[in-house]
Amino acid sequence: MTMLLEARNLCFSYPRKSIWKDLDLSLGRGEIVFLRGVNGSGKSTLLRCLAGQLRPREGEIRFLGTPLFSLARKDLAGLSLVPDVPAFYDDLTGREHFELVSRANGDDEAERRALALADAFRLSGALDALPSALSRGMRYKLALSLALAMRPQVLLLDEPFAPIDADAARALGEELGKLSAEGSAVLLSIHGSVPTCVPTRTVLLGEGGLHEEVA
Amino acid sequence: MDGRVMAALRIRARHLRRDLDWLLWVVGTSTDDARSFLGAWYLAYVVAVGVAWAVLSWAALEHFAAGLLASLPAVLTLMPLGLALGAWCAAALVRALQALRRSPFRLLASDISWLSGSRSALAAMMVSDVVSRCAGACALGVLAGLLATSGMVFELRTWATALSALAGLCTALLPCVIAEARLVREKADASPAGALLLAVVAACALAASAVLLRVPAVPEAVLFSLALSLVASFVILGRNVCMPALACEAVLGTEPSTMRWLRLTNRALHRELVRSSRLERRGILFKLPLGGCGWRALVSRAVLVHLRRFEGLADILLFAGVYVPLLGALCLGALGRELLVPGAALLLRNYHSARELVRVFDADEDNRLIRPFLPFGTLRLLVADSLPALLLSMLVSCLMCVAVLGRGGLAPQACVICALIDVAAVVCGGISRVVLPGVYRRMSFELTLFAVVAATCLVSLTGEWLAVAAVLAAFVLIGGAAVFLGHDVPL
Repeated sequence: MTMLLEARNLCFSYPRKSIWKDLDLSLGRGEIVFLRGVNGSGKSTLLRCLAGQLRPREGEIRFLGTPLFSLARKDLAGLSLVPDVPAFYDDLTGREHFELVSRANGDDEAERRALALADAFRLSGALDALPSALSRGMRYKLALSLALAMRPQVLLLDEPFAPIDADAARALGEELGKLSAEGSAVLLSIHGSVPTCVPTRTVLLGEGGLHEEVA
Repeated sequence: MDGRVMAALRIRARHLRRDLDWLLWVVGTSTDDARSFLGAWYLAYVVAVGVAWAVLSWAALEHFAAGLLASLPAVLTLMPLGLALGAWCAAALVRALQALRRSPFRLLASDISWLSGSRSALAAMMVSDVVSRCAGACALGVLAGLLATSGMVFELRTWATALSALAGLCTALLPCVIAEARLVREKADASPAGALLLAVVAACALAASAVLLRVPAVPEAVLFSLALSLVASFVILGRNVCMPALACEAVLGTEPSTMRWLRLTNRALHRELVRSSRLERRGILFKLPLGGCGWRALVSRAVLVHLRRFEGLADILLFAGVYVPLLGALCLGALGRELLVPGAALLLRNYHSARELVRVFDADEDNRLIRPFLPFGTLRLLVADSLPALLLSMLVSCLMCVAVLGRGGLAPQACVICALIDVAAVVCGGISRVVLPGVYRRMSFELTLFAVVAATCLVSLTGEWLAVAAVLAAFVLIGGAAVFLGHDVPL
């Protein structure tokens, strides 16, 4: 299997607190991987490291075979993280976010896909408001629409099913299935089970590191 | 008295105490320190020094004003008082117009959640707010009246003080009455028209009192009648005001107490938060299509952001229209070399105005979700995002140089230097976001700007404007290359 994202011997610690060490993880084409772990086990930290937003103390991360931290941010378009609290431009509406990203990439299809996703997430009515006027769930749906519309090769989602409603969760499950069928890899942190989304495998982040969870 | 009303008054007292603490914070103490012996002594010392400073400053100010008034011809004796009343009239008009749109009452969200169950408690809170505001305006009026008649006879001073205090009272009451008139229950259609009429009548009365100052008994009669009618209107309308609507309006725009502390500890962040909350309040101002693809979309978006956050334009105009031409003129020796250091310090002290040029670029670099989707390197992103602001600042700088230095024949040289300083400020913004090759940490915007300004000032001592321009151009080229080669890292 072709590996899109590989992490080897990752160690991360905050001052006076080790989060995890000697952690190995790889994401291949078409995989949907659930990342489980108790609160505070370091799931969000791991996702941020894999997205290149935090630098691990030790170890190496490779994206499409290239060391992640040698890539410029413009070269990371294929690697997208939707954090648990996504940030937006506070002076642009949701629709203008879609417009900006698609126009900047010269890809009108991306805007059309984002609008369709927003419709599937029942967000269409709120697209002309500033992000500050949106609830947490709506902001998350906006971030999901944007990230999914760009069709990244690796999509990292931090607890995506927590803030959104049941209908949107169903739509998200379907979209993740489509993305996986197109060959992208998805890693998402999760606590409960999601009937609308079936993982290829599940990994558990605990005291001893990362383990495959046997079904 | 209703327990809720007592609670409202206690909350008002706590607000007053917090306001006092906010002032005392500057000198490193608070009302809580009064509980310890040493703390109480220090507090007493601070208060005594403050009172002495206020009394002595007032005496000096009055002495200065008396000297100034003595030099005026006898016909113009009452002119300062007329000006003071005119200022009250202008303030009343502005506040009244604001009150037609937004309530002048100040209630915190926590106040409303505590008191929302009781109409009488909310009314007590509102009345205490108005009373404290009226007391403050009257006190200010007394001081203005005394200052406007410094060195004159006692009777005249008493009369002027009473007039000014009455004008202050009317100015404080007018927006409250207008807000009440607008929010009266079951008369929604008639209320705005009535409020507008009231604003016009009151402003006319205040203006008449200022104009007819020399006619005996007229100004005091006009102001007294106006104050009386405003008090009566406030009481009568207060019984019929829609309290939930008033509470909703009162809580909007009231800055949280944490933000208020931030004003003292981190002014830049406080200003940013205040501007963001204003942006949220006023909603979407302009709808512009993001024309073009690629980098042109970024330029259109930058224009849109600057129009929506128009407060930032004032910073850009200040930087480009004042600080940069000043530094340019100093570098050319047009204003005297001894002012070079203060001029440079002024620009560096107001570095946040320069930072406004790269606001859009900073927002892009800070956004972890969207930045990877923008397929541009740091240098191209910097240029596209800063282009509208940079063009505006260069235009303003050059216009100012032509206007100020045109006669001396230094305008072309000043324009070149000022335009290069504007570009250098943008490059500083780019450098602050990348890790340069072979360097461990990023260089801050302030430090880079300081280095540029210091180098420019030092080279200007040679008296060669071409050398100054060459240094700035070299910085722009080398800085641009550094931004191109540097590695942009998220915060």
